[in-house]
Amino acid sequence: MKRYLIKIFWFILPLIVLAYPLDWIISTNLKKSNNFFGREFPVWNEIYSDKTHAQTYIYGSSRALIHIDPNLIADSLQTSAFNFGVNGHNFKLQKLRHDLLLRRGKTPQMIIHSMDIFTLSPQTELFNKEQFIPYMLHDDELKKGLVGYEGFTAMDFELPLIRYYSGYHIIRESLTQFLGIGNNAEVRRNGFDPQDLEWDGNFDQIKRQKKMVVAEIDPGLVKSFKDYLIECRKANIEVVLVYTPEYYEFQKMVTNRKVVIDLYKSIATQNDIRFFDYSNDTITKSKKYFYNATHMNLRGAKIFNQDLVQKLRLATTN
Amino acid sequence: MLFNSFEYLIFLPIVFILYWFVTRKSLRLQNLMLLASSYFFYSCWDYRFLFLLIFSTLLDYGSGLKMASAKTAAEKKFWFWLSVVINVGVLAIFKYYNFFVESFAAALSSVGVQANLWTLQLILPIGISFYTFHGLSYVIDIYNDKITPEKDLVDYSLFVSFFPLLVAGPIERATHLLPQIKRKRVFNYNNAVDGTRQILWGLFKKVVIADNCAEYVNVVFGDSTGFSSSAHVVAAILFTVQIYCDFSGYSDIAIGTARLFGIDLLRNFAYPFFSRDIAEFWRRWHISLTTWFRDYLYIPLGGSRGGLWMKIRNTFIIFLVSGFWHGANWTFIVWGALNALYIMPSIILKTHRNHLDVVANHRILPSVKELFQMLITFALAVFAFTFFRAESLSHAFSFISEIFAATGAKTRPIDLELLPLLLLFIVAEWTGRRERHALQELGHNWPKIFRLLFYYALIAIIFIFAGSSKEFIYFQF
Repeated sequence: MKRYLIKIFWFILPLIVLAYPLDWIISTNLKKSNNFFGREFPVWNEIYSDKTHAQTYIYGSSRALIHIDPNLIADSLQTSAFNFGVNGHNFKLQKLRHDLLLRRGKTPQMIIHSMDIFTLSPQTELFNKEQFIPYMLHDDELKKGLVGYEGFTAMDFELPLIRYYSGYHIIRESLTQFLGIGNNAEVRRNGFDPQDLEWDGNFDQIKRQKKMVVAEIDPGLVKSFKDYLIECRKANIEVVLVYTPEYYEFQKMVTNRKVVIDLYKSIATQNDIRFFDYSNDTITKSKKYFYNATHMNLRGAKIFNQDLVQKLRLATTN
Repeated sequence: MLFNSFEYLIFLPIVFILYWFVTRKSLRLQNLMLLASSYFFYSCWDYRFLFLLIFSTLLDYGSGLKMASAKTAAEKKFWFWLSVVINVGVLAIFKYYNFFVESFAAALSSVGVQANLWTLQLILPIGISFYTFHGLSYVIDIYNDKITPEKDLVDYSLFVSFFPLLVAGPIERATHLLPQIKRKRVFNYNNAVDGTRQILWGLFKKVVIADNCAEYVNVVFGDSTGFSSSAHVVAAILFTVQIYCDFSGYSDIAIGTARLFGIDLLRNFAYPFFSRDIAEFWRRWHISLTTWFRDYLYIPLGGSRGGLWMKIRNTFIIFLVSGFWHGANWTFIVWGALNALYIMPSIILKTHRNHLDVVANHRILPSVKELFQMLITFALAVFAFTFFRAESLSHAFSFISEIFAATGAKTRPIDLELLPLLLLFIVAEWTGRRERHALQELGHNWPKIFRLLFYYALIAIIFIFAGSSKEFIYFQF
């Protein structure tokens, strides 16, 4: 019996001893990846880095990271800017990034917050959960921020390597980065990830099915959003809300769209902040500027950004 | 809790330590602790069905005692049939009621009679097919005077509910397991080490091979008219590999776990894919179930006595019942019938006991003839398992027709990383085909460092290549 237990102990001991170094090696190399898992690692690295922070932050979902060009904003407004837009997530995760930045002393002067029809809708799916993996170990802030999502357990945050279980593709990407092979060209410049694509036609098929969409509003998220705006004001951060263009026919499919937009308008008014609503902009009428119903392509984003920068410049002057 | 879960990784060492350190000096306490652990294990699935398990246990325990104390043959028969009817009745209600009702309604509908029959929304209690058969074998053996009833309720309950075999077998016999429960277990180092190896191999088969095959299989079976012929063929082959690795992997973990406690469970698989004919395949596949049907159905029906036609009839009955045991669906019955048809020629020609030894027993590689035989047998198994996997008969026929004349053109290449893993699996199983499990003798002649590195590599493979977690297939039976 003792012999068996000693044998098991000595067999398992190297695994335990190597767990932390292995975790560190895999995580460190994974963070270098510019292209995998939604291309979010460069953005998380920016959040966790010790680099000087930008003066203007862009928040939002995929419509932020694909639409709003921080480089053009930086050049035009003589500032620095970074796009922290996160694909597939509502305000809860956008706020998590904001909190992580501020806790690291990276307080911006301005936040351009891209609003969508689902920004304040509830969400439990942890979309693209791989993006969190290399940052999770013993990170209580991240752990607290991801409560309520289906995706990770407490053990994933507390024990090394557990979150890499069944992670062949993740570990392979880490190994690729370790060996310095494969294409790792940076795609997101200061977080911006424009899409040089043409209209894909998926919306036309959905339109034929005549399905309508209802954007559920989460009262808890609405309160959280209002509190966030108050906190920003106290921290002297100017917040600008932007509803970036979406294809006009999609707008008709959201049955409670007016309710949602009116909510955003009233929040903006109550907090005395600007709300740039591009819902009726001419750009929304042409498929030429979109690659799907809710995302502009590079052509559309260029035109939109020029207009946005003008508005921001005017607002700054006034 | 699944065998391949973190919870089991915590549960097993705790039970092991309690068993060998805390309760070692008292057999009674040891058995009580194992029983409590087994009930806890079962409750993790669904605590509500623990009562059903306990009811079945008490029923068979009580019936056994009543049969032994019966003063007349009629009384003995009464208690026997009471136990059988209730056991089978409970199984029938939970597992087969809706099937019979819906089949009856479909039959009426085919002759123009519309019937609104009442179906039940029942959850199938996990392991019910297995522990019911445990109890039935016990009761039947008592009735046939093969064993005397167990008077100790704790010992009997442990026989039924021992956690490694509780939810998916092996289906044990009272003659094999009860004596082990009743005698003091002595820790055997070599047995425990080899049991640990067996658990490791079972985990590899289940989480690496079976769960990764399932990724491909589920996609193609889920959209059978969209994929090409080759995709259908690959899916059928991978499902056959999946179900073997899933079930034999589970069995290896169950048997390996039991060995850690000094208990030897019945072997359930003996490398069926290396069979040279279907008769050999069925001597090597789900052995505990096939021998159960042989001893408690085939032989009482007359077995091989009474001539060739009786043998054919009884064989058909066994395979149909075996198919039906797997689930309440015509696909399982067709699967059973197909296997019965496969085996008929060998029964008629009396060649069904031609291959009793291990293939290429004294050679490294099989001969061309043996290889050909194994491939044919495997192909027959693949075809039959297509019905096993399909949701319905129409789905099965549609899938098979797509193999020969696909309407879809989507291809689905196998993930490249699966191929070396499959190769490792085949090589290990082939080299270990004479042993209880593939790792039993593997690397015994290697230097210790190489053996260690091999085990670490296996653990790394399990860790990295584990498929997304899926329940064991046989839990649904």
